[in-house]
This record gives sequence, structure tokens and C-alpha cells, in this order.
Amino acid sequence: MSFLALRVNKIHFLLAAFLSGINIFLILTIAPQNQLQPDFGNIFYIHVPVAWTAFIGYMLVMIFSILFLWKQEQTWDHFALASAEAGTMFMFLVLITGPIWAKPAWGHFWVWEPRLTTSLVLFLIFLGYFMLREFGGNPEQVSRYAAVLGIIGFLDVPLIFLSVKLWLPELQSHPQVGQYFEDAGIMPVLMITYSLLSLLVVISFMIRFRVHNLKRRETHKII
Amino acid sequence: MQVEVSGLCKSFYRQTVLNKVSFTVPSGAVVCLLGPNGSGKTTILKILSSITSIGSGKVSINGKEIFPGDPSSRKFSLYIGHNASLYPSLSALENLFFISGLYGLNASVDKIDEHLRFLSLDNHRDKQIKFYSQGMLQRLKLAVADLIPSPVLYLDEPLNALDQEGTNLFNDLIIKWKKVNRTMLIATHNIDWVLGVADRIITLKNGQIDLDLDLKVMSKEDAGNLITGSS
Amino acid sequence: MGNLIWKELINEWRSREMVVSMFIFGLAVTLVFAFAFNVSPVLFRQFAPGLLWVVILFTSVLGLNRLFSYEGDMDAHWSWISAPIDRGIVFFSKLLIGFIFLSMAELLFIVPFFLFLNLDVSFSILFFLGILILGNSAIISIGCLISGLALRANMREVLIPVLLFPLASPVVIAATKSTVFIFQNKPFEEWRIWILILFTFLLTSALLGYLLYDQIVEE
Repeated sequence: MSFLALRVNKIHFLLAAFLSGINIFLILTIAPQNQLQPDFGNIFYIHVPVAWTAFIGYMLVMIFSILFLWKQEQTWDHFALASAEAGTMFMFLVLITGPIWAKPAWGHFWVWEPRLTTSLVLFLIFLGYFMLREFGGNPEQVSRYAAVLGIIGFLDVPLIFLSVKLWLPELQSHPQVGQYFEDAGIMPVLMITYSLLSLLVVISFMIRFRVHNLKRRETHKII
Repeated sequence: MQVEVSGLCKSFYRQTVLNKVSFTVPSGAVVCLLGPNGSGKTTILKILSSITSIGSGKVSINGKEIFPGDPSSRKFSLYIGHNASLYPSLSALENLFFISGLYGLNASVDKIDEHLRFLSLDNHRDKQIKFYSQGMLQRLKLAVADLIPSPVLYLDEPLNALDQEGTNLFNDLIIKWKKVNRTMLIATHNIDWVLGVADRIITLKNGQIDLDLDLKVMSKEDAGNLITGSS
Repeated sequence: MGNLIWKELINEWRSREMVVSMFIFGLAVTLVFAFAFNVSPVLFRQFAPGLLWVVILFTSVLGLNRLFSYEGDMDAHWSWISAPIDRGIVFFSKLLIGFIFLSMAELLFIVPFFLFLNLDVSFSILFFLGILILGNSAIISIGCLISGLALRANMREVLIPVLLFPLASPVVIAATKSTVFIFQNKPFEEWRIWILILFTFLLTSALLGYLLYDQIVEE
């Protein structure tokens, strides 16, 4: 059965599209201009929410992986894989928007700043995750392996972040929002929160869609 | 000890290998699994000995369900498979010593020697088993089965590579094990040998049970005919 | 557990593959670094801690591969998978053995390392050994967990480093930083935090390995 035939999925999709559309429009027009970077500054409104969403996506991988190992039901494995894919796609956007923002802000395309570096390491871990999924062997077994990797990968994050933060103390985290938008009041925070919300709707849609596809493919193979 | 399998399903690479297999191995009985290559005999044995995970279904020994996280559920069974499941760089003596340790036995050198002597392997006791011939390896596997007195024994193709003397020794071992009420589940494709030894025969076809014959209520000729007829 | 350790030790003694190959590999990588970074001895002294841990990391990949792959010969691992033992104990035995062999190989190539790169030894040997022990065990701990995952993979030799390097990045950072402080003879309070990070990493990965090994090991 087609994914969009179900009403709840149709509504979900429309909500995601609608929110994203308005979001992009707002970012391009109404959002307060960044004082120091009038042209590129608004990428910030994309970068921060995307980073949060990617992070949440990976957290979901860990949660679903734990559920899979506990309940041993294939559905949880599908959710874990879908979350990993969605999370990685968003993380890729983080790694693209990061340098775009970094160049005007700090003068270099890449800086070994803690949050960005942790994002890169997480991204690499999950590239390894997909390699494991692809080459790990027997699909039934690989689900378990991937689940374990999903758990270790995410649990490693606090340690990675801490290590990177203490590694180069001269490079602190991103300057806070307030520093760049001093005159704009609560708008920036509102914008970022709104963007985050719309992206969360998008990512949940992506996960549901992908899980549906995976389930459909599996049933067809067995038949 | 009784072994119960109910509703066992397993798939590899998305191909169904076992499809709702259910049977019981009564305590002290010799049950033989027959079937063509790829019918799932080895998979069943590997699942029962916790080498392969259960896809879905239930396996229990004496009423207690097998569970990967529970070592005690593996206490009562021993698996002797196609491959040696022994370390090539270790000698026969060292391998047997290692395995007896795994089962909490800590057998002495003399005891191990005794079992090796029964299978005419005591002369090769200290040789690394990577230098053994196939026949010698097969006998060594039987020595393992003899050394570890598990109430339940799973054997996968035990007659492979055995010469006549080896086969006789194996038959003697079966008689000896039957006397101590050892439950045995043996996978093989040698129908004639099975008819001489088994209490019960289960045939597999395409991952499902085809025939389940009790040789106490059926003559060997009838059983043999049924088996060759359906294959 | 003693039984398992004994088995591992005898296996390695018979073939001597792991320690010898790790030692030679470590030596070879050191040589490549000496050629590739054609800089003055002063600069080398600044690079040295990082280089050392890179060599150790690469060498451990080699060892990890071998540590798990030989169990597949004659399906030997089925003997302990089907035995009534706690499989987490097997994980710990692999960890211990991996650590022992890595350390042995390391102690052998560390002398040439210091020799070729003209490094002086004016620091506390005790602290240095301590960080080596901690760093090695952390790397092997996460390495054993990953090798268990990649055991049946088609591209195991590639998969292990691909997974290990990002996951072990806290270890590399922490160990390198600690070594820098040790080489400079700085007081312990300054680099205490890195030791804490290493300990946490070691404990977490060892615990996870112990708990999850059951799930990984069955086919």
C-alpha cells in the first residue's frame, strides 16, 4: 500500500512541507539580519536547528537500537536504520552549512571547534555504520551488529565532545546567538526554535517514510 | 533429558531456512535427522546448541528454555559439528583439556588419554591437530563427545570420513551412551545406518518436517520405504 | 577464565604471528614517519607524542584483526559459544590478551622509536609506562568490541579501522595530550582530566563489551 494513501501520513507530509516552506520564506525575508554578516549570516538559522535535528536523529538511533536488542522485533531495527539515514543526511547539512558560516565568521572554512568536530566524528562513525550494514554479512545478524554500533556510537559522543573541547582550549564553542543579534530581541531565538520544530516534523516524516519502504521491501522479498 | 522444539523459524540472507519446525526428542532416545543437503539439519543443531540464534520459536531442554544470556541453559548439551570446532595450533591433548575446562570438568591427563586410546589416537596425542587427517579429526570429535558426559548430544554427520574401524568404534560408543540414557540427536544422510540405530527418524524437506517416524511402532522396512518413497 | 587465557597464550606461542607482526609493523610505520616528516629534531620532539599514538593505533588494528580471525579456523569458536560459560568472560579474555600482546610489541618498537627520532628520555618513565598501559587498554577495549562486530563482515580488514578510528578519537586525544604533559614533566594536576577521560572510556567500553557480547557472538 502506498505510504501517502494513509491519511495520517498525508497530513504529516503536508505539515512538513508547509512548515518548511514558511520557514525558508521567513529566514530569507523577515529574520533579523546578522550585524556582522549581512549576506551569509542567516545560514545560522539553518545551521543550528539542523545540528540539533541531526543530534536528535542519532539519539533516536541509540534508543531504537536498545529497543531492538531488547524486544528482538524487526520493526525497531527499521526505525533505527531510518533514523540513522535521516540523522546522517542532516549531519551532512551541518558539515556543509558549518563551513559556509565559518568563513565569514572566523575567516577559515574549517575550524576545529568542539561542536563542529564532534559532528564530524559522529558523521564518520555513522558512515562506518552504513558500511557495516552493507558489508556485515547476514542481514539478520547485521541488524544486531548495527544496533550495538548505534549504541556505542552515541554513548561515545559526550567523551568525544569533552576531549575535543579540552584539546584546543583557545577555540571555544560557537559564539552565542545574542552576540550577533543584539538589537533584535527575542526574534532570533524564536526563529531558531521555529526552524527546529519544522525540521523535527520533517525528520519524523522521513523516518516514517523510510520505515514504510523497508517494511514493504522485506515483505516482498519473503513472498 | 528431553529436548522440545516448537515453531522454530530461521532465515539467512532473507531466505527461509526453517519454517515452523516442531518436534520432541524424548529422554534417552536416539533421534536421527535425515534430509538432503540444504534442508536445514545443521541449522537446527546449531540453533539447539546456541551457536546460531533462534529466528523465532522456542527451544527447551527439560522444560527450561534456551537463552543466549543464560550460560546454564547450555550446561546439558554438547555439539559435535561438521568442522572440528577445535584449535588447529593446539594438540589433541590441549584441545580436550580446554574443552573439558569449558564444561567445568578439568579432566586429568590420564582421563583424556583413556578416551584417546579408545579411539586409537593416543599415539598422536601431542601432535597439533592441523596435521591430522580427516579421519583422525573425526575420531577426535568422537573423543570429545565421549569425554564430556553431557545428557544431551548433538551430532552432525558423525560418519563422515570414518573408515570401517572408526565406524565400529562409533557404534560401540553409541551403545555405551545409550546405556547411560544419553539423549542423542544425529543429523546424517546415511539411511541404512540410521535404520540400524535410531529410535525415531525425522526427515526434513525444504526447511519443514516431512516425516516423523517412531521405530517402536513401525517396522524398519516400512520406515525405509516411506523415507525413500518421499525423497 | 584462566582456561581461556591459557588457550590464547598457547595459540600465540605456537604461531607467534601477532606479537611479531605487530612489532615489525610498528617499526615499519616509525620508519615511514621518520622519512615523511623530514624535520629538525626539535620539531620532532613536539610531534613525537602524537606520532607515537598513531603508530600504536595502527599497530593495534593489525593485532585486533588477528586476535579474532584465527578463531574461525576449523570453526574453533563454536567450542566456547556452545559451552555453558558467560560469553562476556570471553570478551574480557580477548581484551586481556590483546592488551598483553600489544604491550609486548610496543615495548619492542618503542626503543627504536626513540632512537630513530632522536628523542631524549628526560621524563618520568613511571608516568610514561602508566599512560601506555591506560592508552593501550582503552584502545584494545573498544577495539575488541568493534572486532566482535566486524567478525563475519566481508571487508573486515577495512571495517575495523573505519569503525575504530572515529570511535577511539577521545583516546587518541587524551593519550597524546597526557604524553605531551609527561614529556614536559608537568605536574600531575595539570593533566589529571585526561586520565579521567581515558578511564571513563575504558570502563564504558569494557562494560558495554561484556554486556553486549552475547548478542554479537551468535550467528
